[in-house]
Amino acid sequence: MIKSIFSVFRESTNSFDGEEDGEKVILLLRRHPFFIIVKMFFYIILFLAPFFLGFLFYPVLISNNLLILFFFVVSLWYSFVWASAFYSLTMYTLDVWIVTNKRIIDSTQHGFFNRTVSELHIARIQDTSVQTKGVIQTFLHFGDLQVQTAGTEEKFKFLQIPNPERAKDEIMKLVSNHSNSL
Amino acid sequence: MDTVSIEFIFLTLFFLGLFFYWVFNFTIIYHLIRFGIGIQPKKFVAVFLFGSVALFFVTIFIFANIDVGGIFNLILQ
Repeated sequence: MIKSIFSVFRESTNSFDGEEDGEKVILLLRRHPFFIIVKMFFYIILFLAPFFLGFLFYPVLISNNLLILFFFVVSLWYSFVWASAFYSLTMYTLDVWIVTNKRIIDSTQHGFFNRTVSELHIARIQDTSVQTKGVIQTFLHFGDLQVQTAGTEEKFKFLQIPNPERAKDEIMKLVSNHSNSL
Repeated sequence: MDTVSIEFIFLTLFFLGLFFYWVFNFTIIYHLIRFGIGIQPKKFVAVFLFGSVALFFVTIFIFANIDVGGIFNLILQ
């Protein structure tokens, strides 16, 4: 019983909202962790701020008997930082590109109640290209993947995904399999 | 009379803040569960919920030990 409850943290079918019958998730892509790590570094600074302030104003707090008030303000501050950090993590986690055996889905979360979902069927893919620019992208192996569709339609972009070449190969393999099955 | 009203305002603001804190937390948890795909969002929910509850109880505990009237008297002096 307990084992089955905790299995949600170990295995997942990667099912998603609006999944079609017989649809199988091939790739689940998010932006490179570098972007969320940079944001988390900022939250770590916010987390450490009360330590410095406490150290700086410790004699004043003690002499005026305001230590308990300081701890209260700090607890409120940590609640705020904790919720803000997880807000950023939520936005990062929900910003995904899903490649299935039938289509590509771009799900972008702009805020809590602002969400864009667009999709592209495998049959409409004509070309893919990878762009890696800058020192950070080159060293950390991430970049943009553009999927070109027929005609003058807008390109489908996977932004700052890790190992874009691998994703490109997988998509082209799906396109090739789809063409052969026709 | 003044001290009572200050305490009342402080208490109201505190509980109003807690209410918004939990509405915000619920929205994060809801989004991660409803729209999250894969294992990662579930792990985030577990850690976030644990941390939020822990911080909530720590804040309540500290709040219960604050002498609001005494602090306001000290500030007003």
